[in-house]
Amino acid sequence: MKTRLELAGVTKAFGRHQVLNQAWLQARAGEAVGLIGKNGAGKTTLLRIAAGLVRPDEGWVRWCGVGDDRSARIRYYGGEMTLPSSISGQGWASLFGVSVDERRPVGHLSRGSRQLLGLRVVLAGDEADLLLLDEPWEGLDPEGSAWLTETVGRWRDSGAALVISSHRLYDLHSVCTRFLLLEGGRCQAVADRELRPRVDQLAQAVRWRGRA
Amino acid sequence: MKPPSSARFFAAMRLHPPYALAILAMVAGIGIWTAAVSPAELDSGLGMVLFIQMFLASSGFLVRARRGHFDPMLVGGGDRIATVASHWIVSIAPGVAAWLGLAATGYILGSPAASSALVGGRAAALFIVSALAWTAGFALPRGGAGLVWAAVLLGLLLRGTDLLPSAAAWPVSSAMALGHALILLVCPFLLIGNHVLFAPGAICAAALLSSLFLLGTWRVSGRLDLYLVDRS
Repeated sequence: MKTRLELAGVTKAFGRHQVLNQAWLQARAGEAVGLIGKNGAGKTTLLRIAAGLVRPDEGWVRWCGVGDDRSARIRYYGGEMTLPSSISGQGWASLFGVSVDERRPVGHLSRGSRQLLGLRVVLAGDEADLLLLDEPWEGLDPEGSAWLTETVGRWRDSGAALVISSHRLYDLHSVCTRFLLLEGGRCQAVADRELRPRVDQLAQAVRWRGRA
Repeated sequence: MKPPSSARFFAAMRLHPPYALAILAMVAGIGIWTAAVSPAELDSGLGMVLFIQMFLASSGFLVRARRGHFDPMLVGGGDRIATVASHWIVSIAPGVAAWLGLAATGYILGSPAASSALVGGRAAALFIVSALAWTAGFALPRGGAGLVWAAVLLGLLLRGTDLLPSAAAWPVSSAMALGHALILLVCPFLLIGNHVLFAPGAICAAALLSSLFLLGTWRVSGRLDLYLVDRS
């Protein structure tokens, strides 16, 4: 499998706050990497470095086998709060050649609807090599979550590399092929057997809630 | 999903509030009407457009970029300078359009100020305001640089600071020309009207300094971290 994204020895501090310390990340074509970690662990910073929006203090980022037009071949979604509120849903989607039937301004939509709109735009088409999604399941209802899980799986199967950060282990586990735990500014690989009991526990909780 | 051109993207982003554009349209209309009634009064319309341009050009790049609004255009570490330059062009476009409309009207009606509004000192005033307001407002909220600039001008007015006498004399040395250029950077409105005559060297120096500030900001923008700042 071709490597699409490589980060090595990435260090980043904001003022005195050391967010990342020699972090690494690799994503290959056809795999989805799940990025997990506590709030403030640096998941968003790592993803924004991977997207080329934040520069590391040390270390390097390399996009491999991504076409010349990187803004078209790399897609990054930072969550519904990154959508501009004054533009209509239809207006935002049509900018990227995507059609949606939502005429209200983005700022008037519910959090879940905004999240779904942003995801529908960023996951449209099939011509990207690398997708970086930050907390994509946040705010989605079960129907939206199911759509997202299915769509992400389709992208992975079509050969794109994905890096997805989320606290929703159950959803993450259903699409990701590999997991990285970000702790103390460093990435550690998490074996499926370590994550599995926690996911089973969550699945049980979901079933229990469903019965209640 | 196909990313649009930077210019189309920023045009759709509504960099200017609708009320500011409405005020600009109203001012341009008044200016055209004034010039039609009295072609010699073109400067009053140009002055008003220049004042509004101080606010419009100060559209604030960094605040919105750190909210993630411009992420689709900046992802992949591509040519950020070209993207930022597009942001500047879209920011100044309404003011420039209103200015050109006024100047063209004045030209047709035979206003003596029209040619200077298109290629002379008055056009330099528009460039200085367009470049400096955007540059100073780069890291400020929308309209921030316009407010600060207007406050500085008001402060100078209230203190009775007289910029005119020192500027009125033609510079005999390059240091004096630079001094006059700095005066023009603070108050480009001095180039509107016929009461002060600045040497071409001072006007060119002011325009050049404005260009340098603008290009410097574009260059710095290429190295800036666009981390996310939650709007809440």
